[in-house]
Amino acid sequence: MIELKVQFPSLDWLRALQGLMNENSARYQKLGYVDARIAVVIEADEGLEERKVYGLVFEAFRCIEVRDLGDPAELNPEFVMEAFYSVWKEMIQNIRENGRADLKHTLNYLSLPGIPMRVWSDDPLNRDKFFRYNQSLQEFFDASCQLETEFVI
Amino acid sequence: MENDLYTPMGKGPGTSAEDWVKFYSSATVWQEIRRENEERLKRGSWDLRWLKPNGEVWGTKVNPGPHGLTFVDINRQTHLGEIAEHAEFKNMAPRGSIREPYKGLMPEFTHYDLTEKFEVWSESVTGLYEEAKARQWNAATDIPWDELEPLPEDLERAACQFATFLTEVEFVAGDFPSIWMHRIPNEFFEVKAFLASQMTDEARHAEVFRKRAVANGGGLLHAGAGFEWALKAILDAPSHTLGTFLLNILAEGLVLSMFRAGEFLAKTRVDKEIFRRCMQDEARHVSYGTMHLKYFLENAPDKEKALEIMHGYADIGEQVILTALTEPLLLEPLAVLMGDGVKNIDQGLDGVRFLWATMVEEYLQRCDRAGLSRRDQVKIPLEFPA
Repeated sequence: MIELKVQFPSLDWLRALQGLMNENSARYQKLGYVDARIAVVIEADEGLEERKVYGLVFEAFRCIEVRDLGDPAELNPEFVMEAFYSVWKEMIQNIRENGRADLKHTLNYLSLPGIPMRVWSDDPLNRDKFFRYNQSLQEFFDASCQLETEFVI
Repeated sequence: MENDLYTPMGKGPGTSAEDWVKFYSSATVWQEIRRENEERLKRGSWDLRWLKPNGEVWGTKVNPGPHGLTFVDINRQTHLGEIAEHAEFKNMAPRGSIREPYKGLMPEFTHYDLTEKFEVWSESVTGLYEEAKARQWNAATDIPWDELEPLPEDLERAACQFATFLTEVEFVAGDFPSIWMHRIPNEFFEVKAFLASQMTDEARHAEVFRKRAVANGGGLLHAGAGFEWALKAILDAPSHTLGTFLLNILAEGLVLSMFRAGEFLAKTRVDKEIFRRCMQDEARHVSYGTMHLKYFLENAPDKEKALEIMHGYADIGEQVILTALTEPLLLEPLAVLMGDGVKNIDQGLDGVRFLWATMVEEYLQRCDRAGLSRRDQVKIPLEFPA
């Protein structure tokens, strides 16, 4: 297997995950469909000088859109996942080392207490979509174990 | 009438004279239909009225979308998707079919008594049913049971006690929809279908926790009196809406928070997988409950009265759920799991405190979303009471 070398955070990194999801539709069909607009926020710290915001749009068994956002509101997201760069980096490194997030690096584990990751929405039913589609979203990020991720620092 | 055909036989249920009188009473109508059918066959004449256009919608093809061919897709046709506020047909005649000409000849089933849309409907229910089907899983094969690891006995016992509690409460979550499902007429079949999916989900949850309790060498531990009273309150709910509030928003909402906290409670990947999968199912049920309450409050004929009834019921419902929530058969195992062992139970209590505050806040948010603000009168303490 040829590994993709991509930088995090970047649009390319998320597009690589999009590609992996869309090529692996059988796995996602097994998990069930996902209909959600999600904003991913990477707050600046540890060498990342500017906050980065991306939008992910999922429909059925595919990720149909990945884009840069100036602000989460541009996407009208159903929920926002935000954490400092160092948190995302540790999660991605953990996924790479273990082939998937270990027990202390899953999206749900990181976000349950509201720190170090925050999943929020103005509408509690939209926030609940993070729970409804959790397994698929975890699978989406776990696929980063197939990428050779380069970090800004 | 050929009475000899209807002589009661046996002594089991359904063989009383009263049952048979009920059965006889409808015989004149269907015997008349049968007689006409038989005469027509004897005459050798065909009745092909269904072949001729009769005002039905015809010729509009519905293509599957990215989710396949869903009810959402076919309901875009107005005659299929427009749902009456009141169900006129108390029988199985499908909504959208040509059924008016036969109405007088059809039986009415008295058990189809949830005839008002506001009693059952939720704007999200059609999509939730489709989602439920797409996100089914198998407790026997989708959980990596062979990866269960041995745990220290106190942690295994705590996991088994928690699994016993969940096996007990998931049972009622399957039973409650069954009480109301057969009372929903065809007009609102999407609700019926969703409740069927919820029953399947809950059967699977009861299955997976029962299996978890024994799979690692432990077993089912203590059932709780406090749990049973709370579950009885759900089953005894005087209406579908009130029971749905108690089950889907309050009880399932709290259990959803517990499943989410499973990330901290789980000591093995197997447990995490179980909690995560159950969490996804539970979130659908909570969504139906919240959106149904919203629909009820917005569409009940007397909105003020509806709100008053809901508050009155929530006042009691919150207290009965609190009875279950404060059971030592639930809180103590949670504290042991949170603390990573019985010796750290006090530290574990900090985790329980956090979980408690999260559960109550999320419950209040969902009530707000439905239009039932409970913030000023909620009977469950906002903070853990110790």
